Amino acid sequence: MPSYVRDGATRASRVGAICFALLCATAAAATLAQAGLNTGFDIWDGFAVALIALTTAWLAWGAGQAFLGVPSFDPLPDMDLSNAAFPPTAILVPICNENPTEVCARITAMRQSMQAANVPVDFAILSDTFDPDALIAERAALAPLFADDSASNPVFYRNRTDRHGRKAGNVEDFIRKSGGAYEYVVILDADSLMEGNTIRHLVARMEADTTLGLLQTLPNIFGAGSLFGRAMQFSASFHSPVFARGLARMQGRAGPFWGHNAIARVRALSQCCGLPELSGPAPFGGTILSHDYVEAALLVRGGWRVEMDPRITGSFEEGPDNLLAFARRDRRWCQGNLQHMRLVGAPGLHGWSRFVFVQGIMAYLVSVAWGAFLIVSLLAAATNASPDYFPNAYQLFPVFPDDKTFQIVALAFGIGVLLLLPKLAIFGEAAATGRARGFGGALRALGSVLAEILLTALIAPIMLMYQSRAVAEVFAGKDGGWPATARGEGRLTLTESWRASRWVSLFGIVVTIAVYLLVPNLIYWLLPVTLPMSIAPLLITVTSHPSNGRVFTTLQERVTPAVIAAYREHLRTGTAQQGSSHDPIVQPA
Amino acid sequence: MNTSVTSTSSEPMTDFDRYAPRAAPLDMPRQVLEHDARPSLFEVLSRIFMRSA
Repeated sequence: MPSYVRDGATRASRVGAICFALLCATAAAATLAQAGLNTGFDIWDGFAVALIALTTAWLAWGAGQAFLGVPSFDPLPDMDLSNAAFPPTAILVPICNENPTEVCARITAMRQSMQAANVPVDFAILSDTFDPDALIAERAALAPLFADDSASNPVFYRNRTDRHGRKAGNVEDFIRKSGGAYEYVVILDADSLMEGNTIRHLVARMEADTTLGLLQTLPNIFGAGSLFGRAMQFSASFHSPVFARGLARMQGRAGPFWGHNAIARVRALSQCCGLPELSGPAPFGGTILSHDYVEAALLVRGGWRVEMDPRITGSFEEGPDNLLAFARRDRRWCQGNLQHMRLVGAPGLHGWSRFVFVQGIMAYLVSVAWGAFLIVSLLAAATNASPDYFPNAYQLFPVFPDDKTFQIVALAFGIGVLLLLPKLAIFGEAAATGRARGFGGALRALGSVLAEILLTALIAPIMLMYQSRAVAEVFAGKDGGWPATARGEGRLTLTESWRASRWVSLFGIVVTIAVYLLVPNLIYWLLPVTLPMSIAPLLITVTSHPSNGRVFTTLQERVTPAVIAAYREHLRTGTAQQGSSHDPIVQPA
Repeated sequence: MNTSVTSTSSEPMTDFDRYAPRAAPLDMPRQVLEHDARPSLFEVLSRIFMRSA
């Protein structure tokens, strides 16, 4: 067990992060309450204080996690495992209407990596593809994998007609029918890549600790080509390892499972992870969408340890290349996380597992809270009575109301610090440890951090709108289903962006006009929110365009890992052989 | 499990049964995630009084 997963250290980290969040929330609420008292505390001020406490607590929680992750871990232990002792292991690749040429190229690249590292694992392609033409294309594209009958790394394939339980059901079907043949399964996403040495390390770690039910890696994002995609890729490479270290320090025995790029003990999965359908209709009932959180909680309930180790390298995934694809995936995650409201009180769960559910729910409710805070603040300002300079009948000198500018500026400054300080602290860590060299040196890394902060600030109001709509839709009972994740969807035209985001744009314009008419002195305060909303289609289009500048450089872009290089080579060959790439079946948002 | 499909041109595809993972069944019990529905106050009272009656 790593040194950072100890009961005492875990408890101290959790208590520290929670206290920090509560302290910041109290300070923000007290500052805003004082500002309200200066001008007469009304009901809107009461709402605003409650909402600022909630949103600040959430920001501070994230910041606390980053601060906890700044100190580094001990180096990853070198764990070897001979092939004679190598237990039966399968790499599971669940797919559903994916681009089959890409799937084939990924598996071929990983298979090569396994062979180079002499790792004797099987591959199992678990297809849920239902479109008949896509199924034909899939089988045609995957055929070369079966022709190469490599004894050490055979590839299996099956297609389900009953797609019960979606991805979790797909994996469950494999465990039920073939799980008895394996000790471990490495669960991937269709866009995952993992290196042979990484798989060997994962299996060795599981062999060394028989209480470990699941070991999660921190996948690095690769292959982004747009400004948006590269910013996310940079953020995942530069910031995520530190946030993940903070999370790892708080995980104890109840670490996270993110659904892919993780190894699991088959016995633990079969004992604990047979997911039921929730009673009632979707979106709150039916198939559990965010199944990974639930599976982690069930493993812990069953007495197994779930661990995430951000030190493990050689684990990769792709990400959405534009904001619309990101928002579409986020809609599914939103529904899945809100569904966990039904499961917070599930019998027998570990306390931290319940807290993780609450955290996932809050991730989306906080967007609504931010929106509500802005609206309430505007209403409070708009309904403020004119100052009464002579409240007493016989009064010689006027009474001037206290100015609340100081409190408001202090509050805005504090929130700004909570937003910026974690990223600057992470930059400090990267510069001090030499990690920044992988990102083009400290100066370029700083430029990338600042550019990422600017871009995040611009897209945050747009995401606030998409997330608020998602929450409203879920509470209104609208099931978003499980749209395929768009990978490499890339560049959007202004028309496409306008169609998908005109409501955001119109909302931004209407709010700007309303504020100008009702409380004109607040117009400049609200511009950082209303301006990006008003120009949402333009921002979405511009950020979806290809970017190959020096900003947002990552280590993977500078030194391509072998498995990624092999994947690209096989994709080039496969695409050339197929004539043209098969478009993923994805509906526009 | 679907092992063969027909294309839109009604051309049969190869049988993919032989590529299926080997059969090694494992039991995977359904987990309980929801408490039983709580009885309403009326049901509780009626149970008490029916039992006493």
